[in-house]
Amino acid sequence: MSVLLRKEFLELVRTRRFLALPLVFVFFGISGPAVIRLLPLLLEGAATEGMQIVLPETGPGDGFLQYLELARQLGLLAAIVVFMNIIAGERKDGILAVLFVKPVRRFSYLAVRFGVNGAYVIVSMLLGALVAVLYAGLLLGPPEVGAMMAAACLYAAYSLLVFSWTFFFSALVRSPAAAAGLSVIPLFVFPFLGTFWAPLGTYGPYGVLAAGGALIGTPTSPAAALGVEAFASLGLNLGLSLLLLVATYAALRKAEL
Amino acid sequence: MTGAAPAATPEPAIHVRGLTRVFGSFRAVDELHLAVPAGEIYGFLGPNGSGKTTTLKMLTGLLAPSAGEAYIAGERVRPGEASVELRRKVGFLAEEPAFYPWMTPQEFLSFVGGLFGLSRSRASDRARELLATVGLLDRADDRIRGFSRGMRQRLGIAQALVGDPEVLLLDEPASALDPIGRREVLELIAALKDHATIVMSSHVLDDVQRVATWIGVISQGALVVESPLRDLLRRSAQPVFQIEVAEGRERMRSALEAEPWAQEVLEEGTLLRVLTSDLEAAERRIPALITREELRLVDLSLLVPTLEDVFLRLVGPTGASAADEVQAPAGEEPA
Repeated sequence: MSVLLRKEFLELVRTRRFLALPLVFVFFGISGPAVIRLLPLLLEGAATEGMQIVLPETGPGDGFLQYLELARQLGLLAAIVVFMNIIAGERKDGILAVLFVKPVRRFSYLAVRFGVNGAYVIVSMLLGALVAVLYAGLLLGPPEVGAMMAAACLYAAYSLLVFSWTFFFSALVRSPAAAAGLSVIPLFVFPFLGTFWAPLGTYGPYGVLAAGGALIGTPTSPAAALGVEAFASLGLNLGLSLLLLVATYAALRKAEL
Repeated sequence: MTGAAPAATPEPAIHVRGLTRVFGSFRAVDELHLAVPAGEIYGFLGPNGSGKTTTLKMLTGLLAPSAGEAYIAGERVRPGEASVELRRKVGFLAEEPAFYPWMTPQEFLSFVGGLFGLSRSRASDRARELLATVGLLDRADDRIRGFSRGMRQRLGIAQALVGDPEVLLLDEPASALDPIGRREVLELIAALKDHATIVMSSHVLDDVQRVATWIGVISQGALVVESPLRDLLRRSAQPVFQIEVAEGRERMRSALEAEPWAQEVLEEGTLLRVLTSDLEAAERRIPALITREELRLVDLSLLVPTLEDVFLRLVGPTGASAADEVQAPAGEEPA
C-alpha cells in the first residue's frame, strides 16, 4: 500500500498536477470577493449621465458566496478535466496492463488512487475557500470564518462526489474525452433535479450546496443554522462517493486490458 | 491448419489445453494446446494476427479465455485479479512496454519492486542490479519520457525481471528495434536462459533462430507444430547433399548416379547436388566415392533449411501436410 501511496504523491508532484487545482481554486478565492468589491465601481463607471444604479449593500458573505459559486461551476469543471484520464489514460497508455500483471490488488490500486486524489480535490477546494475568507475580510469587512469554512466543507463533500463520478466514468470507458463528457452531465443535471422534486434538492447530493450557502449571512439575507437535511445530504454525498469507488472496482475487476 | 497435440514433456513450465478466445465471430485463438518445457527459450511464432499476443495476454490473466485452460508452474491461470499470487512467478513484457514517463528507470523499477513486496532499500538495490543487466545504469536517473524505443524495450525486460520470475513472457521483444538494439536484446534474452523459462513471441524468424531452443508455431489461432528447434530443422531438412570437388566433377557425377540411393544428381555451376533416398547411406558412401575416384574434396554439406524455410512451409498453402511431416513424435524429450 505504501508503495502505491508514494507513487501517487510522486505523480502529483512530477506531473505538476499538485499545482493545477489549487491555482484554479485560489484564483476563484481571489476573484470572487474582488468581483463583489469592484462591481459597484464598474457599474458606476459604465453608467451614463443621469442614470441611477441602486445596488444592494454587500458584505464579506457575498464575496465568499461568489467564490463558492465559481468553485461549484468552473472549479469542478476544471477538476473533471484534470481527472478525466485518471484511469482511462493509464488504460489507454498500457500502464494498467503493466501494473495488473504484477502482484497488486486492483482494489488497493483504486483505493489509493481515489484516496489521494479525492483528498487533493478537497484540499484544493478548502485552500481556495481560505483565500476567499481572507480576501473577503480584506476587501469587504470582517468575515464569519467558522460559518464560511463550514460551508466550504459542505461544498467539499460535493466536490468529492464530482471527483468520484469522474473517477468511475474514467474506469468505465476507454476514452478520457468520453469520461469527461459523461462526468459533465450530472454536474448540470443535479441542480435541475431539485427544481422538479423539492426533497431531492434538499436531501439529495445538491442539498449540501443549498445548506452551505444558507450558512453564510449577507446584509440582505441572514445566516441560517444547519438543519438535519444538510447532514442527510452530506451523508448521501459521502456514501455515494464510496459507492462509486466500489462501482469503479466492479468495472475494473474483470476488465480486459 | 490442424491443431496438433503438444509434445509431452516432463512437467512443462506452461501447459495450455484447448485455449480459445473469441472476439465476436472471430476466433483469435482456437483450441490451442501448448507445452513449454521448463528452462527452455520457447520461440512462439506465427504470422501477424495469428493469435500470439492474445495467447500471451490470456497467460498473464489480462484476457479471459472463452474456453480452455492454462497452467503456469503448475498453477491454473485465472483472469482478472484471481491470479495475483501466480503473478509473482511470471514476468511479462508487452509488445509496446508502458511506463510512467515522469518516473526515472530507477524509480520505476523500485516501484515495481515494492509491488513485489521488496523493502525500499532492497527494491532500490534490485533496480540498480537490473539496470546494470540491461545496460541502462548510466541513464538510471533520467526521466523515461525521453527514452528511445530500444531503451524502453530494455527497461521493459528489466521490469519483467524484478520479481525474479520462473516464467518470462516476451511479446515481440525485438521486432521494432534497429539491428544493434535487436542484437543487444537478443543477447540479453539468451543470457536469461539459466534463470527462467522464456516464451518469446515473434514474427522475426532470424531473431528466434538465434536464441530459441524450442519452437511453437501457430496459425489462425491454432498450433501448427511444437518441437525442439534442432529437431524441427532436422526433420525439415531436404535430403540433399552439396558436393564440390576440385577436378573430375563428371567422374564424381557418374559415380553418384551409379549408387542406388542417389535419386537425382544435378549440376549447378561448380557444385553437384544429389537428392538421396537414404541419408545415412549417402553420408557413408559419398566420402568413399571421393576416395575411390581419387578426387580432391572442396566442400561436402547437407543442405540445412533455415527456420524461415520451415515456417513458410508450415504456414504457407501446404502448411497442414508440412506440419504433419515435421511434428515431433509424442513423448519426445526436450533437446
